[in-house]
Amino acid sequence: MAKKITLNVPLNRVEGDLDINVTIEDGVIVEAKSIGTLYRGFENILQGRVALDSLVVTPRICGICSVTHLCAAVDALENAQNITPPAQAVRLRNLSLLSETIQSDIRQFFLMFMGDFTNEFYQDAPFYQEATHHYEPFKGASSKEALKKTTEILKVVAIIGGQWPHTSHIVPGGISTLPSLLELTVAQNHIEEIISWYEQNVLGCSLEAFSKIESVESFMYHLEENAETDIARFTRYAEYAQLFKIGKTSQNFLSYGTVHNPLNPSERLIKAGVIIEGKFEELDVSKIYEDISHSWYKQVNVKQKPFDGVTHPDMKSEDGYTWAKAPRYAKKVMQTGPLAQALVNGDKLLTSLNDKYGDCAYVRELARILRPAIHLKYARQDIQGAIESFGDMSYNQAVEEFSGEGVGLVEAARGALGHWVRVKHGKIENYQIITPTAWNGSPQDLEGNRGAWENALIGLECRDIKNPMEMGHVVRSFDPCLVCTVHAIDMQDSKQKYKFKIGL
Amino acid sequence: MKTQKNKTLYWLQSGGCSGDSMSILNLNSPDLFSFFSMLSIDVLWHPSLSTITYTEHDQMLEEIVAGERKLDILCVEGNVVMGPDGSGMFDTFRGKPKKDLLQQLAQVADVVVAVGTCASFGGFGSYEGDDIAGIGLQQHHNTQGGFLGKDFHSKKGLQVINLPGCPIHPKALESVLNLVARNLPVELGANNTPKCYYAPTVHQGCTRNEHHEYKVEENMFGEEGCMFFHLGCKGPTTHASCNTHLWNDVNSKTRAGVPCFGCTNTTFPHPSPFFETPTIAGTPLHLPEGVDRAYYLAYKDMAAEAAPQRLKKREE
Repeated sequence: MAKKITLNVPLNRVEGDLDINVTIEDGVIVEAKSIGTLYRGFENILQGRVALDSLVVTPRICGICSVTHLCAAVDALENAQNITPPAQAVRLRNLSLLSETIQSDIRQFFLMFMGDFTNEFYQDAPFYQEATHHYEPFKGASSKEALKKTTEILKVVAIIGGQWPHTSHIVPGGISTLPSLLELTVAQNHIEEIISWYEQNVLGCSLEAFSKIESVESFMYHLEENAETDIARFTRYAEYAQLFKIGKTSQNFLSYGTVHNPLNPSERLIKAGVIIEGKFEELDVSKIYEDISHSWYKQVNVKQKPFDGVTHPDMKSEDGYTWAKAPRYAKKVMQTGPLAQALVNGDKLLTSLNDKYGDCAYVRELARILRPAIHLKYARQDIQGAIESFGDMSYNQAVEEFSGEGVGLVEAARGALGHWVRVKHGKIENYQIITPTAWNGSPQDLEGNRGAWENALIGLECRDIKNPMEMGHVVRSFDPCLVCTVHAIDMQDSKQKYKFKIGL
Repeated sequence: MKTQKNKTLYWLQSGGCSGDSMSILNLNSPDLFSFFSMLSIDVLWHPSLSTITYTEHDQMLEEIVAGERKLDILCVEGNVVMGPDGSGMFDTFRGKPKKDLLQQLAQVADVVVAVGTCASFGGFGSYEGDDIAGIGLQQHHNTQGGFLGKDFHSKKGLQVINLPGCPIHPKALESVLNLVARNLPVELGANNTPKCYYAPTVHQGCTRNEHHEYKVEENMFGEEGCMFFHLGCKGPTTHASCNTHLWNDVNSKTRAGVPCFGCTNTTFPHPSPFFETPTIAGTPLHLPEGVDRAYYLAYKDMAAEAAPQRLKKREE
């Protein structure tokens, strides 16, 4: 008879609290449920406040992508009021968001992903000592250096916006400040410093040279020639850990696109779109809805459009197992994040890697640490543009009381982030947020489709249930952020007191 | 440096956004990791950084709670989630309310540190009607007590050290750990915040002080005037070193034209609009700490008249 066990595994090195409930049969995962265990009720906090307060409240949803939430909040308000920010503000916003995302990609790779290879699970691996030297938590030489570099890139956000995290310098109509020419040139130096470190240590060549590597073969050749780079080490470890084979979920990808064209802000230079079963389509926001059939809500109106959701918390709901809802795009489970961004944008190298190896844990994580190669080029371009346009205005709109609704779609470090806001006489009537981790870490839907990383876990071999390293690799390759996700809940009837019985 | 043997630190995240963890990672010279090692602080657990397995972590918690493993410093990030209905089930660990674990750890720790405004005073989700019913470790808004009660003292006989800020400024944690690691006393001021970081106001050191002095006011974003009179800046009534120890070593919100939202205050996030200054008869309702209203307003009117052209010029 098959040996079957079910257990709850709390996962660390993710942002926030995540449990994975897995059923393992003969060492193989046969069922997986992703459980967001912390609920924070942010939409309730927003309701009734003046519209601009979303610029202060929503960044506090997430400590690692606070500028991203700020951008989404401002986008939603500008969308509702039909405001176009001036070019200089667009450059400074791009720089703020790019810097935060570069920081996040680097911290996730070095501090949250590579540390796994220094775990005793790999003590017999040929790379164990090398990995420990470079990536041991708190001590590894490369990780320490990477941490320092992230503090440098964040200085760019601080120069433009005052501090990181949790500033509110991006406002409807522009930006709150005019950095001096001295400050802008200092920011440029910080960007060049990061580029130089990233080229030498992570890539092993210049950004320009790297952009010419378009096939799997030339990429692997590059790694052989540059064996002492972080991407080469990661690839060696990944091969040993079989990350090329595990973690596949589907070929459905969603990206909202990023980096606005300063001269035409509605254009995104890294384009938005979806890939469904391998085929590119233009993004159609109206196809997004949330399914609550397996979430802790009263089961009325199981499929909800972002603006019209009605939600009654109910931990007794029969099939519920998480506070997260399940966003779907035209009934499809989508994955989002750096790999989706690259594929939707037609990145040649990642497309060929995905063609060859699929959306495995290796390719998904690799896409993250390769993304700065693209983003740093845009940062370089925008800071140069900001310096050349120094003196141009960066704010063009007085804030007035208004009524209306708007959507803010932003590409966060972890993927597609949407804010839906409805304002009445200057006050927030309703606020709905769908985060990247809601897409990636969603529960099942009514049709029985599992969420993206739930599905990626099915069939995974789990050699040591006391130290389920394979699970960690797979889920961390999505870069989960639960602090964002489990309060992306529309609390229209929030004044209701909960009477349900607790008992999981 | 005179430190005794290694001190252990356990970092608990509860109802929060991880922003305080992200902020302390910005510590520079020394960087956070070098800082811990210089002070011989042994980080037993940080949820974003540690790599021990969940089974080892379970075991470690058991030993700490049983008193078999020394816990010198307990850092708590995020508020204590009490909802729904006092059950704490909106924030669980291993199927149980996280507040129960916090209670156990607080009993065995030498020093308990509330990291950030949520842990200190309740912060986001701490107002009536908020779903999670969050409260601070030993204070709820202005009221002493909070989750652990006003009589709580850690094993070393200390009350909870509050390090408010949304997020915490890395220097606030650095300054306290510097003292704790050296076994030096941490002098606490109002609301049990360490004087070493929280004595100054945010206003002190702001580059827009001259505008404040001459009442050159900012009415909208993108200008360079003082934001105290119209845009809701709470710099003169908020205690923190934002403008003396700069953020990310380079700047502060008020220098970048973003008003101080008073994020270290006990009532943050207060319900009144963030970008508006509440006024009474056209003048700010809350004046800088300790001033006499009549004298202050008379002085400001005269100062506005005396304002130099180079400051007023931007109003043209």
